[in-house]
Amino acid sequence: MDQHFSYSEQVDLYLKGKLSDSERVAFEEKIQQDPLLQSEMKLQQEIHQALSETRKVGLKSRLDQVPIEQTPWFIGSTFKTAAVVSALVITSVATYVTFAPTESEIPYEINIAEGGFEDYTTKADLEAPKPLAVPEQQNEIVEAAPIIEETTDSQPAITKEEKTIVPTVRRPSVTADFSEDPIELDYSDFEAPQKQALQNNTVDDANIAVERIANTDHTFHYQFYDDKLFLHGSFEDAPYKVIAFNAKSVRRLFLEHAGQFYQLQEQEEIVPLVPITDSTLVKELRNLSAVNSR
Amino acid sequence: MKDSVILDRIGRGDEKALDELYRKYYRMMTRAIIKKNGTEEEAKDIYQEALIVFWQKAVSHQLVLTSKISTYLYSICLNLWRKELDRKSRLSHEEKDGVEFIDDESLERSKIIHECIAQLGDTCQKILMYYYFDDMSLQDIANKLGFANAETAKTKKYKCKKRLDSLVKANYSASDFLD
Repeated sequence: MDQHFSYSEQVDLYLKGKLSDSERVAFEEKIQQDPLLQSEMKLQQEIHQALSETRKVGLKSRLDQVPIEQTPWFIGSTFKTAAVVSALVITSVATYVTFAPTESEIPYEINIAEGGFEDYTTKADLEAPKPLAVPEQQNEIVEAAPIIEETTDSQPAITKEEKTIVPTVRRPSVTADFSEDPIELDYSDFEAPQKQALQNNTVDDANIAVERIANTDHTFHYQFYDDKLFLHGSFEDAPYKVIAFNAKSVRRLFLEHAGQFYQLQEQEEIVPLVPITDSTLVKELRNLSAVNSR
Repeated sequence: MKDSVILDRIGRGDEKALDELYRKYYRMMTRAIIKKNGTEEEAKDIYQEALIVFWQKAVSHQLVLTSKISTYLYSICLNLWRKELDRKSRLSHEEKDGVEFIDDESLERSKIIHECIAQLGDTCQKILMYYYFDDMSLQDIANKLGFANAETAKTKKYKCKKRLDSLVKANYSASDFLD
């Protein structure tokens, strides 16, 4: 038994390639001379190989279960979803504070008085955050609706009329793949105070990468961190949409899905989506959503 | 998670650390393959293979990292992808030349062994795979599977292997591979 034990150990070491050169040569010579040993070694090699294959298959199927973050939007079966999301996605509205006092007046009714640097007012009577460093301006600025067709445009849609500022930067953010080619806002057309105004009133575009994870453990849950949103569970085929409100340093995010709205909190934990019941808030969200979808 | 922590955990056979590593570099690595004309499926497959190579080396304590894990993984990925491209081009030539050789007997034998492995108990399967594929030390196997010590692991490994050998031999002779 002892002898057998050490023989099998030697076979193991040989199969694992752990014999020294001289040991290996000696072992192979021994095999060469003995047909019975040859067929035994063939069997051992086959077993070794099969065990390796089994283990590899096991490890691979384990890895297949690992949820992957940030699948680039251009590859994979999530493409369609990503396309829908990028088309619908993300709208930043500067005036988080005012939160849309009346319907439909908000984004479009900016009344730009002619010739005036100082005369910007809006019909909507919004209380937008005032730019701190531009004392003589009354910037009441509201961001307008997304221009979905410009998804691939690397230039921000900045319009400039006469000498005035139209401080609306509307750039629908393509989701998911933004780490490598960041799209820079080009402020070069602006003079300094205008640039200041723009920066004061618009916060970054909401770059939210959205990933759907069909996961049986979670029926209707989400995770949100590092600007990445993971939707767990079945979202059917109903489109969903992320709405971002930006104001000063505060950003609030909402998810719209199948007519319901959900507030998104930044967290790594997987938590259930709970519909917003506050009817005023829902109404506002619905309005904004409708406006931005136009 | 730091490289040193990952290495340490994988060194102890912690598969969850492998999961995390997989997640961490999935996008970076698969994109590298896709940029080199791989499909998404191929990219995933190559990345998984690379990670398994990494796992094998780390879990058997044969790995001395001189670079970041990501750099190391990246080079394995590219190597594997190069090999795969070679294999594919050879394959397409063979097909053109009509040289296609399938060894039925080998396939049949391999199938029998896989069936025998499946007949072993879960612990036996794990011991043998950890020992033969992962090349884990008997002490690590003992720790991972909750055995008293390395000696216990060694004995169990021996018994499991014996059982597998005899299962395979019995099935082989039933299939006339062995006279």
